[in-house]
Amino acid sequence: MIDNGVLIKQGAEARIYIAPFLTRKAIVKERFSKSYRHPILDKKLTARRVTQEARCLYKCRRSGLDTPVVYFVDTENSTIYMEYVEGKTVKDILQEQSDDDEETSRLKNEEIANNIGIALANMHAADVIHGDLTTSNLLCRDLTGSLVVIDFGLSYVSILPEDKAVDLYVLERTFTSTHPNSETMFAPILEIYTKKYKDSGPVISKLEEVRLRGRKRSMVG
Amino acid sequence: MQSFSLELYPLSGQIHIALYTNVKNSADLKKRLLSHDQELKYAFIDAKVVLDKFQLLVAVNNAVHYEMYSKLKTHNVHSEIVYNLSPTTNISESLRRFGISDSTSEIIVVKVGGNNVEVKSHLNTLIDGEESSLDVFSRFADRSCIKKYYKISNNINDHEEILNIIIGSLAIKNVN
Repeated sequence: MIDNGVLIKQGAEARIYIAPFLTRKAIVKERFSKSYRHPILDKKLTARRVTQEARCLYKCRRSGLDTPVVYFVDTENSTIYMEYVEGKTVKDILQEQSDDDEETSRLKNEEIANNIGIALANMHAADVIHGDLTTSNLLCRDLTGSLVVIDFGLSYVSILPEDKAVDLYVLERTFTSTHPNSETMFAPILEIYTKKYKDSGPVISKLEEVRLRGRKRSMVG
Repeated sequence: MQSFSLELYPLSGQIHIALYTNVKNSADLKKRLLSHDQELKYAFIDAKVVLDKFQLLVAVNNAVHYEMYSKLKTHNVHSEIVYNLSPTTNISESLRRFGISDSTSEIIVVKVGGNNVEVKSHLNTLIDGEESSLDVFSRFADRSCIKKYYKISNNINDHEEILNIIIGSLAIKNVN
């Protein structure tokens, strides 16, 4: 439990609070233990995931991607303190668009797609795989309009085109399943991604393969 | 001098931060620190490596955290603050770069715990220099030196962005 924090979200892996931290406002992500796991394994897994998340966040930030700044990592309590980003999720933005006329929403979508493409290109160029790319894990910063990638809870470092392709595929599925009118947005995202990421060739060809078989690799043979 | 409290470790008491300029006895202070003089229970930091108050507070928070779990890498919480300002785990290099040298004339002092009036009067007897307002200390920051120590590329010039990278590197320093 975080003192003077306000619980804003509870997931399967962690609780998210907003709390003051050294003169700033912070997001506090506390991973909790799972009673169904063996205690030793549980401790090891949780500790590893906390450090992995913090490291990936920092690695992305250093390579020019806009991610929340990590303020403090408390490995004893499996908690990460990070920057509170004032903004809206891409998911909410897309869902609220029904009020806009067609032309404004088209322009808005174009800009968002452009930003997402650049962000993903930066992230994959740093060999960081997000692991859970959905439109709720992409924010638009209120102040600057910059695209912020959040929740690196499932992220890891990999150089394999396969892993990067699955990352893209997960996002593509989010667009087709939750945003029925915005599935056209994924094509421009890919276009920008291809342009901005110089090693995107193998990733795009892998993506074709992944589309045919789904996220999970075939275990036959 | 300004005092802060750490939300996470209220039991450690207040954190006092002061800036001294035109300091003339830093060589003497350094010698006393090296001989583990018990009177000097302070962190003495070279003002040129500090860009922002938040950077200091993050380092202090880390030091107090490790003290609480008895995981200090250095002798005490105050040397740990200096060590925690550095992004590397090389202790002697960290203390050399972020602590005071014989010629340092602008010093930031951090004290964990204690009463602010007592801290202030004690510091005034210890340090031969002028106490200045904390608001001016980023004026003494040496950007090129900071960029070198934190390995920040030269094309990043925005104050906030430099600070953000510094904070991140301090936060993940011990997570390896």
